[in-house]
Order: sequence, then structure tokens, then C-alpha cells
Amino acid sequence: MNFSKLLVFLLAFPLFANANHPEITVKEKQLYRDELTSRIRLQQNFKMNVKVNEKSEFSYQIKLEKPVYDMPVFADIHNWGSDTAYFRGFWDLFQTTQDSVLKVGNELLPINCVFISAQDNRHIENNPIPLLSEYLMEVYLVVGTDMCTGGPFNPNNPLYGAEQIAWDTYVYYRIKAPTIMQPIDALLVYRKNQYHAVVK
Amino acid sequence: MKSILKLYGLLTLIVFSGCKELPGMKGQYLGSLTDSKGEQSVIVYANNLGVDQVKPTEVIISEINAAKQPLRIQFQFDKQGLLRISFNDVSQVYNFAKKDSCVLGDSNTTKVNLCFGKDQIRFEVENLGDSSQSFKVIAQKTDNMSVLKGKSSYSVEELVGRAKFINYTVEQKTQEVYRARKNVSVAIGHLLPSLNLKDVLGFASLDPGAVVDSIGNLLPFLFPSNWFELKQSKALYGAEVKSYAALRGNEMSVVEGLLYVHLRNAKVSEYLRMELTWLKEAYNYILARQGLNDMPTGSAEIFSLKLGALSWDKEQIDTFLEVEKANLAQAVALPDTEKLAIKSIQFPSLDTVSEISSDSCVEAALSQSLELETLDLLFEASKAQTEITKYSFLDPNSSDTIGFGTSSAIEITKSNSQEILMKKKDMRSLMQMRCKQAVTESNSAVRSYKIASKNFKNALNRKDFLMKEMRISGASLNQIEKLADNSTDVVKFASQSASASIQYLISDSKMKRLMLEGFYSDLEIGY
Repeated sequence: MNFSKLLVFLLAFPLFANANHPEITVKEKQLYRDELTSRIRLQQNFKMNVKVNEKSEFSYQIKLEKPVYDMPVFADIHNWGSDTAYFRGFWDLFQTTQDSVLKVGNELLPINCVFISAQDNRHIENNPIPLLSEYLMEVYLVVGTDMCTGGPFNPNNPLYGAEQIAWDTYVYYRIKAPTIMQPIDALLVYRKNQYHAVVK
Repeated sequence: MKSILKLYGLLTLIVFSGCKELPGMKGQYLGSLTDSKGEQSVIVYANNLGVDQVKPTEVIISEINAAKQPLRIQFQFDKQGLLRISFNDVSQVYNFAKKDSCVLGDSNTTKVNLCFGKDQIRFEVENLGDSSQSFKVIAQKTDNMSVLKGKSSYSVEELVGRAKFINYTVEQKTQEVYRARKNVSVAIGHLLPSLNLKDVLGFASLDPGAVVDSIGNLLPFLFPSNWFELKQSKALYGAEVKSYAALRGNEMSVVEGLLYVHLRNAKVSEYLRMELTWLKEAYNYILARQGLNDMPTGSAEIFSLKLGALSWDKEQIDTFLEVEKANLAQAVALPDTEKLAIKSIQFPSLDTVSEISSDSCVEAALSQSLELETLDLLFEASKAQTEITKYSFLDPNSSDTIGFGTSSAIEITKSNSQEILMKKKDMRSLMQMRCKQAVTESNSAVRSYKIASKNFKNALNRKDFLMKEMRISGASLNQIEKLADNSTDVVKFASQSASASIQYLISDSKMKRLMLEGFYSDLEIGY
């Protein structure tokens, strides 16, 4: 990047953010759901380096029922000083069928909520580096909660004395390769205890 | 006696029949120039109007723009009685015709028509070979120079041009110069025989008492005090013109400086607007995540504090911009209710600019300074005053007498001259100091720009780093706060660069004012 030219450009011309950023269409929103958020792996085995419930592995199996939001929720932040480069966050929430379970040791726990917090990195820089992932998705598979309204943070904290994290037990992992939806950086949070895991 | 009467008759002829002047038409006119590019406002100065072999008639047409050079047109009859018209000193012979109050000139290539009506001047040039060179000027004589057709926006050159011609303070000074110029005319009148009939009759009666009384009026050039009086008035008039030009230059310099500062503030306001836009986007992002329970409660409120602080800064600078505009409008005689829109400028990049020394500025300033020339002329006037004091007792019309007080009076005037010499020395020192100050400011601006430019580059590198981090590890509240702090740094260093650029422009303008270059090269125009 030629910084002197950028500085001269900034000094010479006013820049208007959002000038060339089109509004996202309903069709595009549906595409994010169809191609990304609803295509997470419906079953997966993990292993840990500690034993939980006498086993050092766990697994889940889910079926996505109806989405809670009509459409995924979007929010964009432009790259400062650019009207074409931007960062996009998107979120989706699904209820699962009654037979969706998390198996920890011999214990079967019902998963009733899948929350996905994701970002679309394709437009952050005008010349993106190929090695940096285009998408980053954070997946939460939540066990037995009546707080299936969104992400892990409890809106009643700290005002009403609730804990910061609303969920007791859940699986968390990231996806950087949406073509194969491979989970990475996985965590099992079991009764508020956190365990690192990898795909088995 | 007979020889004196003959001399008187000859002088009368010269006074009445030689010069066909149009004294009421001299002065300043405001109007428009229309050419192939369109119409623009112009100011027209008409000097020494009349068909005269001795001095040319001069019409100076100037756009209300400090960067544009005026067009000087001179009409003069040469010894062969041929009409010569010069455009910026390039002269050509024209066939001459006179029709009503118009002078018509016709050469092979150009037709010229200069007409005077009631307080109106009309000047047309038709280029027979190239119609794009043709133009027409129609202007009305007026003292109210603040009444000009408004424009949607003004450039720096146009506003400084308004300050040059239309500034209120300068107008008042113009009146003072006019009065000084009138005094010169009166002093010149003392050298010509007065046409007071009483004096003529007194001459004719051969009453010696009457002759002694009247000789002062009839033959004033015999008395040196009258010559010195003229010299003093001429010098004083010259000093007034120079000091008027200096004042005009100072007013223009103030307006130019104010304009640059205003444009810098407008640029900073724009940067703040950009940052606020970004912060609002980031705030909405955080609010969305908080609403989805994907960020802790209170995240958006914490972030909104940054927004609030910056919104306050933006509000202050925007209010200040309006106050500045009102001051600028007053300085250039625009109605203060008019929304003054100023065209932006290219802020210079100082990356490759080197520091300079003050030598060339000092040399040029001392050799051309209007202030020093004013003092030179005042010194000349003060010396003439000394001579008047010495010799005025010889003039029977004067109430001065020679006596014991005369030598004191002479010493007082000599001491006035000495005082002016001392002021001149002070002024030289002041010019040198001002040059050095302007050069110091210019060099400081160059150094500051380079530092700010480097910091700006580092801040942008940091931004890229943070955006890459966000791509890899996600947009947490902490990450977004780091980006917000970084955007503040980017704005800060971009604003510092803008300030350094403007400081450079202002100090360059000060040097040009001192050296009488650029906008300040023609400050005596019109007088």
C-alpha cells in the first residue's frame, strides 16, 4: 500500500463510507443460510486428553428443525477509510428435533438449540490474502436450555444477579473451511467445566 | 506690465483649451466581463480619462480573483496624431473615430470601442481573427463594492480577490488615499495662475499694495515654499498610496490565512465524520450481537462512550466552522446571511519538500517593502517641510514670519526627519524578523508533516494488522475497541498532516506578502 498516496488522497478528497456498499438482498440472506449456517455437520465425534464421565471422548447427533429467525441477522463494519472493503457478521439460530443428543461418556443429554455466530471475511481487504479464511463460524450446540434465544451471554447479567454465561452444558467449535465444515478449536463445556477437544 | 498680461493670456489659453478631460469619469467601477467562457464579475479602474497627448488614458480591468493578473489598456495619441492602444504594454496603431462619448479604434485585426455614459463605462474588444479573444465589459461607478452577484461557491483566489478590492477597511483607506490625492491636485493648482478677478483687477489698477498682495496668487511659482508644498504633497500622496497598498496586502494576508485554517478545520471535521460513521457502524454491530446474547450486556453502552466523546468534538468543530465562515464573510464583504461555500483545495504533500533559508525572503522584502517605501516618502515629505519652514516667510500670502522662533521650528522639522529615519531602521529590522519567523514556521511545517506522515503510515499498518487478527480470531468486543482506538489514531495523524500542510501554505503566503509575490504582486493597482 502506498501510504503517501493514501494520505494525499485523504487530504485532497472527502471519503464517504458506504458509498458503494449495496444493501444485502433477501436472496443473498437465504444463500448464507442454505450454503453455510444450515450445513454444519449433523454428527461428529471428538476426543479429549482428559476423561469426562470416565471417557475421553464425546459425540453429538442432531437434526435441525425450524430456524428461530426468519432470516439470518447481518451487521457490517466497513474497513476504515474505504467505501468498498467491509467486514460482515451474520448469526443464525435453530431449534433441533427431540432426538438430537450429546453423548458424554455414557450420559445422553438432549441438544435443543444450535446458535451460530459467523463472519464473512471476503470483503475486508481489497486484496485479500488467500491463506486467511473467507468465513469463520462459531457453532454452539446447547444442551437442555430454555434460553434458546441467541448466544451464550445471559442478558440478566449483571442487572439481576444472573451468571454471565447462560448455559450449563454445550459444545463449542469453530469452522474455517465451510466446504468441509471441519470443526476446529472444539470445547466441551460440561456442567460449567471446560474441556478442549479435537475431532476424532 | 504688457509682458505680464501677455504671459497671463497665454497661461489662460493653456488652461482652457489644451486638455479635454472627463474628470467625473475617473474612479472605480464594478460590473461584468463577458467573453467566450461566460460572464464574470470585474472591477474596472479608469485613470486620466480624456483625449490627451501628454498622458495616456488608462483602463485597468481586473477579475475579482487574487491569482489573475489585470488587463491594462492604455489609449494615447502619438505625435503624429495616431491613436495607439496598448494591451498590457503591447501597443498597436488604430484608426480613430469619436462618436458621442465613445472612442472608436480600428486596426486590421481588432476593433475597440470605449464609451462613457452617466457613471457607466463600456468597453468592447472585437478580435476579427479569433472571436474567442473578443470580450465586452460593462461597469457602473459605485462606492458600494460589497454589492456583487453572489456565487454558489468561492475559491481561495476569489475570496482573497474580494479582500483585495472589496474589504471594508480597505475602502475606508481608499477614501483617505482619495483625499490625499485631492490635496495633491490642490497643491498643483497653486502653481497655476489663479483666476480670481479681484487679483486681476488689482493688477490692472497699478496699486502697488494690490500688486504685492496679488503676486502670491498670480505667480505662485516664484515662491519656493509653494514648490516645496507640492513636493511635500506629492510625497505624502505617494506615502498614502504605499501604505494603502501595504494595508490591502495585510488584509488579504489575514483573509488568506483564515481561509486556510478554515479549510483545515473543515478537513478535520470530515475526518471526524468518517470516524463517527465507522464508530456508529461498529456500535450497531456490537448492539446487534448484544441483542442476540452474543456479547455481554453493557458492551454497546461501553462502546457508546467513545461515540459520545467524538460526537461532542464534532459538534464543537462544526460550530467553530460556522463562526469562522461568518468572520470570513464579513472580511470579504459578503452578506452574513449568505451561506458562504468555500471550494476545497489540494493540501500539499510535503514529503519531498526541503527546508529553506530566510536569505532570499529578507533580500526581496527589504528591497521591495511597501512599508519602507512609505517611510522613504514620508522622509522626503519631512525634508520638504523643513524647507517650507525655512522659506515660507518670503510668501506674502503666508502668515509665517521670520523671527526668533524660526530656528526652533526648523529644528523641530529636522527632528521629525530623524524620527522617520529611526522608524525606517526599526522597520527594516521588523521585516527581517518577519521573514525569519515565516521561514521558521515553514520549515517546522515540513518537519511536522514528515513525522505525521510516518505516524499515519504506522497507524494504517496497525489497522491492517488488527483487521487480519479479526479475520483469524473473530470480532470480539476487545478487538473492536482496539480498532476504534486505532481509528482515532488514524484520524489524529491525518489531521496533523493536514495542519502541517496548512501551516506550510500560511507561512508561504506570509513570505509572498513580504516579497510582494503571487497574490501580492500588484497591490497598488487602481491608484
